[in-house]
Amino acid sequence: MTKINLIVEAGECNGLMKLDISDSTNTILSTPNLKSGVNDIEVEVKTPCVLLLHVSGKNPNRDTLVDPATHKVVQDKYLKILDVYIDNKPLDRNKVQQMFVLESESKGKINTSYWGFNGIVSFELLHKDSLELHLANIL
Amino acid sequence: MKLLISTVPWTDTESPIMAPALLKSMCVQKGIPTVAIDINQAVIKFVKENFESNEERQLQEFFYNTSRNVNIGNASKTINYIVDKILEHNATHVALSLLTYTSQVACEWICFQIRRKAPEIKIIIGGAGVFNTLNSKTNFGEKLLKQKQIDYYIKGDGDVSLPDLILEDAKSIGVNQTEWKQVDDLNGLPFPDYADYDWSLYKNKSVGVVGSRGCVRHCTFCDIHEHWKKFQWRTGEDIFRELIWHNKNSGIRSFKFQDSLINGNIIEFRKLMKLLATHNDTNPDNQLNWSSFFIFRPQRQMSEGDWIDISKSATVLTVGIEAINETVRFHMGKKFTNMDMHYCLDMCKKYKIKVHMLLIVGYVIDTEETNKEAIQWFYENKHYIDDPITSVSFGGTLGILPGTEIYRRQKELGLELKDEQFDHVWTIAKTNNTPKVRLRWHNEQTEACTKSGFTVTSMTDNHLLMEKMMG
Repeated sequence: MTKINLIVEAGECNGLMKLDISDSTNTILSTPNLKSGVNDIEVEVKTPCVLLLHVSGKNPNRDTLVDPATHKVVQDKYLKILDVYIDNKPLDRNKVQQMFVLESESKGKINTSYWGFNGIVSFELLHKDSLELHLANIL
Repeated sequence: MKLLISTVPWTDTESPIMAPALLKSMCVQKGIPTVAIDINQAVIKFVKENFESNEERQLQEFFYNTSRNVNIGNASKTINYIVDKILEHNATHVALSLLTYTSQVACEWICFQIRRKAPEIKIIIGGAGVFNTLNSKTNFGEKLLKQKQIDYYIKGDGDVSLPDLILEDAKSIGVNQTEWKQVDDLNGLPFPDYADYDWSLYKNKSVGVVGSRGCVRHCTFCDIHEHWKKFQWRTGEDIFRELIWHNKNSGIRSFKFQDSLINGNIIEFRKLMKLLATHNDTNPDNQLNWSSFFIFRPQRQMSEGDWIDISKSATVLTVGIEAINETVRFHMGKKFTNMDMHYCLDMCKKYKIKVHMLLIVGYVIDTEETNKEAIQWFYENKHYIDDPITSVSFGGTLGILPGTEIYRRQKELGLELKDEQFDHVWTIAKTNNTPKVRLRWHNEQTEACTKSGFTVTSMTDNHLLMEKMMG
């Protein structure tokens, strides 16, 4: 089994988003109790596999506050991936930012580590061994 | 408690790497059960035997520089081979010695796999390779420590820090910090213990010996004084005792000095040469020989009599000539004239001492003229081909290291650096000394050297560097 730690920042606006992590057979591996701020979510998986991160609980009409004067977002309900650890070693942070594609309910596919829409994020772990997962990340 | 000390790939060498043997003797003296192995050489053999030549090259490049052109399965298989070799010793502590930055890639993944397979093992890394890095902007030891992939990193003399750390399991100077203290006296230390090394692996069965640490010169491009603040030496008698000890214990007759310069302390060097000359004259069937880095000196400092003594035991002198042009060489801090250089080469020729010549292309005051002079020199000095100059090595083009004189004088020299860490793409606009121009000089000098009949040797990491510069 391979230990995966997802370091996720949760932004609060009328509550928090919900996250369910499953494998590709839709077996739920974790439904973490998220808190506002940084969360360390740990799952153990048999690789190779695809992790599906179900992101929900966002009402776009209500859960993003915009300053009408500047049109800037001042508060948002979101999840953001900061780091990914495989067997206690972090992946390259710059690459982590580019690894996730959110299949959103309303906006289609978005290549982002900032999840401000409901949808499903796929995270492919294509090698059996965690050393090879790391090597695939750096090569 | 059991300590395993090992080298870390990749170092291109046919000789055993000394550090684990030296550290073992210090640890054993303090009562720590210790095994010292040279896994670098075992891996070179493993890769040769298990992969095609193109895969071997890809693996070598991967370990040098995380080259992307490698099969993940091959890299993983090699790393697992190393880790299994380490774990078969059932050690409680593993100390990994990184000779240069080219050990960092392997070290990172060896530590990862040890942590996974045997998390109870304490991992310690040390050696110049922890700090001297080509690409990394950060302290490699600090990075692995933060990631909890290692327990400790050691800076400087592991001779003292390592056994203290194992016995006390506590932080001391040089452990998990960049401050460290040099060993006070190199004399009377225990001799390196090579008993666990697999001697069948080596083409060159010479043993490494340390006669001094640090350097008497202050070359402007070299950062050795950042690592070894003061020059320390062993007496000729103490070094000679060690050579005889190895000879009596294992029959070894060839020695490779790991010093920056074997003749840094000319008085002790002279004593050692006399002792060896006497030994070899009286033991024609058991003569001892050595190779080492060496500095050319003027005739007033090294007479013909000295050269006769040297010739009784020396095989190859690796000499940092570094620049053919005398002005450039003096600017570098090399204190020998062209006349001195020719005197030494003539002495080597007369007394059959081989010379491996090291040159840097594209120094900060090099110009088209000095490049032409270097090219011409090879054609005009063909009488040195093979006798005594058996090979010439161009160390890539000049890289600027932090902590060096030229780094400190960058404003005065008009140097524009592009990389604070180890810059090979610097420019001096006023003299048109650019990476592109230096690459051309390098190619022109290499071509002239080869065309005139000299043998040019090169290192893989230099090739990779040049490819990077061209890219």
